[in-house]
Amino acid sequence: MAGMKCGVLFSGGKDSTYSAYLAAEHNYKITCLISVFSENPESYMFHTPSITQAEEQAKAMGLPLVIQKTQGKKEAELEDLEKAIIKAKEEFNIEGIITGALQSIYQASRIQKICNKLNLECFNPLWQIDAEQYLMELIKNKFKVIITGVFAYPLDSSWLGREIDEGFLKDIKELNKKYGIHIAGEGGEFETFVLDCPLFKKPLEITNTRVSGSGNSWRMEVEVR
Amino acid sequence: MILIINICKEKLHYFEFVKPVESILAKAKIDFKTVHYEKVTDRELFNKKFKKIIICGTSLKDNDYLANLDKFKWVKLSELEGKPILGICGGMQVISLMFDGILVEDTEIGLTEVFFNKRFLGIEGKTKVYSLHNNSVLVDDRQFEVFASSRQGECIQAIKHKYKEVYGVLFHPEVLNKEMILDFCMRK
Repeated sequence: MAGMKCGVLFSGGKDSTYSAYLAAEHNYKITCLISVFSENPESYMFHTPSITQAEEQAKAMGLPLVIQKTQGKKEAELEDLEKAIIKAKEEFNIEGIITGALQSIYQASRIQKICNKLNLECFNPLWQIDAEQYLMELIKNKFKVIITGVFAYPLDSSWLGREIDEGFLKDIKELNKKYGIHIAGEGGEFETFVLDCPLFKKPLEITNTRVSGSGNSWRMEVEVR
Repeated sequence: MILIINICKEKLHYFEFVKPVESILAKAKIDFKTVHYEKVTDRELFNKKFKKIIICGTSLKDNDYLANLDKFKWVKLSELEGKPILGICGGMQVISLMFDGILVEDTEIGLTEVFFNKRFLGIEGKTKVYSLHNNSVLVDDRQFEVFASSRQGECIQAIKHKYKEVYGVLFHPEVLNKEMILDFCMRK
């Protein structure tokens, strides 16, 4: 029996994709992905690097993508998020929203308020998860996740494109001990892009990359197919 | 060993409302067993190896547990006398209702300032907590003492039974006040 129809707030990074995976594993019916494209790279709510490639990821999952643009101004972002969720509710009859929130009370409580107002269930299956255990689960479940942005000392451009594997986990744990870098990047220290996972019908292949930045702040825009 | 009671209707909510409590106990090397309220047996509830019971919370839209209060009669049983119980959010609502309290509509979502007028599970004074509820409670003050509230006393946030080791918190200590859960588990 298929479970509740849900939309996933989808950024293309590891957290929203792994949440979608957990929901599917527990028999929830994912009917669409919802992405808010922020024009502000310092967005309060949304993970921005490589977000335009979410369309390719949605195709790989065989799911429709509900798109909403936002200028990325603090409270207007929330109105745009609400518009996106309303669109998904109307088009796909979703009964619940799945998010990849780990620890951010700012992010989680705003989404909870929107869902409460729209009479939708809100699922945060990664809420308060132990970061090391989480990365181990990603590796065990064959998620191919690469680093597409770094934003904290001592991370630099050499981390761009690195895959989250045992070697990454070992290195990031060391940086956690020495510099307090969050193991899952929850403090915005790094951002990720999913190239493959059990929800994808085929893995994505990188066709082009564009690197920009300086010091300890770098982004790698990827093109995939 | 702690018996954790899951009150979530939706399977996926286990990860959000129960697993974080399990993780706090696991990190402190405290043994636990988790059982859903619809499946918990008298054998488990009365088993002496379970020294204490924690009833976890659930989502804003989930009110199934309120329609099944007959499944929580054990909260009041004299056979459980002396076995401490901590109810979190929906768990506190269950405790209050079983002891003649009233449910009132009241929504708080996100960071909330709570004032503890007395020390409660290791916390005192002004404290920031994480709230996620559409209902709060009014307790029978012959049976319960109120230890904390938000909005100048408008919303009851922490209670303890006057004669039993039965505690309740309306907020979610597993998010910002993990030490309260450990205090409950470790206190003699």
